[in-house]
Amino acid sequence: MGDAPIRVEGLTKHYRGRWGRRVEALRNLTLSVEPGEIFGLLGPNGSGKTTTLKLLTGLLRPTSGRAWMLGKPAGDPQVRSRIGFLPEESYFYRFLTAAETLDFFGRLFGLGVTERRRRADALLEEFGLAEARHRAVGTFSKGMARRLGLASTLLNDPELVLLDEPTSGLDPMGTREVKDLILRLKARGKTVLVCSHLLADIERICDRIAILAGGSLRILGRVSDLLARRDAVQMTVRGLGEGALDALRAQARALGGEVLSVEPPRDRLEDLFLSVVRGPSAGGKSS
Amino acid sequence: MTRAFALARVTLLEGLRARAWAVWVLYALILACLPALLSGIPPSAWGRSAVTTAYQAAALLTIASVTIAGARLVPRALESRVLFAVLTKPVRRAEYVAGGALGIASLAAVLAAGMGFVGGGGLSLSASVRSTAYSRQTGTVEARHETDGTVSWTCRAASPSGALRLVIPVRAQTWDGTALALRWEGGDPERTENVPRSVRAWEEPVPPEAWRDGAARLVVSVPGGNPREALGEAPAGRLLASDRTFLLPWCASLLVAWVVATLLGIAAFVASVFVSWRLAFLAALTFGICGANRDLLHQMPNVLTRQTLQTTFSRAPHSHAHDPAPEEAANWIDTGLSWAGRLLSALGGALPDLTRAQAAPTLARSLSIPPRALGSLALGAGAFGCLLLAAGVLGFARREFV
Repeated sequence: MGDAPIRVEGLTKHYRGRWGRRVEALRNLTLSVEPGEIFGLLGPNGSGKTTTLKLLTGLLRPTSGRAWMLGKPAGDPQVRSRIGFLPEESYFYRFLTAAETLDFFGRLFGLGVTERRRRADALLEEFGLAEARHRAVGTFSKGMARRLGLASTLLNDPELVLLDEPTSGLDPMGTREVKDLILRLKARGKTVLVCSHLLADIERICDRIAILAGGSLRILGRVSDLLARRDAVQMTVRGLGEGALDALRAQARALGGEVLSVEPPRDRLEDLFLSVVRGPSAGGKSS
Repeated sequence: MTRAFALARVTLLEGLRARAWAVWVLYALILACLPALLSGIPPSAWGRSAVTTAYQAAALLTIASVTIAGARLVPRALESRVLFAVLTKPVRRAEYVAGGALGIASLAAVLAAGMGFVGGGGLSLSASVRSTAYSRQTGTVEARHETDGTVSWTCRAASPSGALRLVIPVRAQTWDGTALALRWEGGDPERTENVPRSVRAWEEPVPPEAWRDGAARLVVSVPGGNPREALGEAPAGRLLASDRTFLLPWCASLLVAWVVATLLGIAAFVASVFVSWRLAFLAALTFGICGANRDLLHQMPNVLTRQTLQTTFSRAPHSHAHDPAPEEAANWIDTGLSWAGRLLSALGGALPDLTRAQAAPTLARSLSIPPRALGSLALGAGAFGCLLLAAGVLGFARREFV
């Protein structure tokens, strides 16, 4: 618990609405994110996901409760140099080019000229923006702006990455790239906290999830544990004929089981889309 | 501080790419239209009016652009959410405020410098064309020459035996109507044939309007003579352009415009932390107007007396004795306006007396800013700037970004 990159205890945030009315955005949230895991913060709009991220990054101050990141109080400027944060739907400075934008963020991190250029070039290449490096960000599509945002998030090679709706505005290919990126970050030992309301995106990449609703934590646990059905077993088998299937059904019944369904497995729509758009090789690889 | 400079650089780049070209094009258009705009101005006052108008346009465009840029800095960063990205980097909020203020100051400097360059060149050119044309039409040449606090001009063709030298001491009271001091150099000034007829008229006090500001011109008429000879070796139209003394006051005036624009830009930037950008822009502009018209505002409570109202309503004092209702109404209006005047005066009093360095919205004193005024300007602006920055840092540090 002491080494948890993110630790939150009893975090509560009240806003003052119109006419001084109190709006409770987050109520008594307690959780921790373990090193090297991908943690998903899920919930409908207005559930408190973004408020939690803003409290962690110091953009908001908690009404009560405390939060720590990388062992220091949330909002500490020293901690902020070790994290990467991607705000929801960020568009950056319209008249700066992509290269200038990354150079600017590099300056904010206190990186030297050579290091800034090296990292910016590598990230622009990685996110497919090398050709657009001298284009003004204001002319970027939503997906390009999102990719630039992700590049700027990783500029300081952060230990902890906070992503607010990272796939918002992206097409299926862009979404897949972001998910692959998150998995690559995990493989490099980074801790990632992802906020999203797109459940399919989160399901396949997160180790643990927390679901917020109405500002309260409703459930917290490992994805595999939360989604597993204890009363049923699914088996995917290749190369069986109809006769063999009948024998399997009979065997299952003989052992006291109830056969609920026997049907060919279905591809995910995302995989089908990618295989159509990219060609069969990419689709095969992703499925 | 590196981060503050990075933020300042981005603020400057965004500001320049977003609106600088439009401001400069607009200014160039205004300059191009100057001959048409000032077509009704007498030739002797044309140069002064042109310089004054060019300066006012440059100052107003700089102040308006920079104030809008300052007011929209935080709201735009919030709209695009880039503020979240910036403040979650290792940037202190004080650094953000300092960077924004530096960016606003540098934007104002670049805008003012650009307009100064365009305006200086344009004015020299237009003055040259105007002056030459005038001399061709009427045989009268115009020249403006100002050195070390005196205006002097030599007319070699005035007399075969000597030159007429005109010396005007430039003092604070000169625009109240000091006569031109005429002095002969060589020859006998008492001999009638040595004195051109037109010069005699100058023995009368010069009307203040004729040379009220530093760009006023001395007009020398040489009846039947060649205007170029009257100026000796200097062609008439080139005097304004080649006169180095023109550049220094022009730059000093733009410096004042830069200081005012920077302060109002920062005031709008700081105000936008607390209120909407439109309100911040209006507040900063009101603040500036109050500062610019401080003298008027200070007098307002005195001016708005019952007597003034009575005069305004064209009523004789004795008629009020039989008419209590209008008197009661006048009392209310009198009290209300007096308080409004006091309020505005107090608001204006919060600004350093920047415009006293200029003393007037015309180029009159701005072209002859004394060093002491520049010193007080720097001190006042520095103190006021520090106050604004302190308010900005405090406000920004407390602000939450929902």
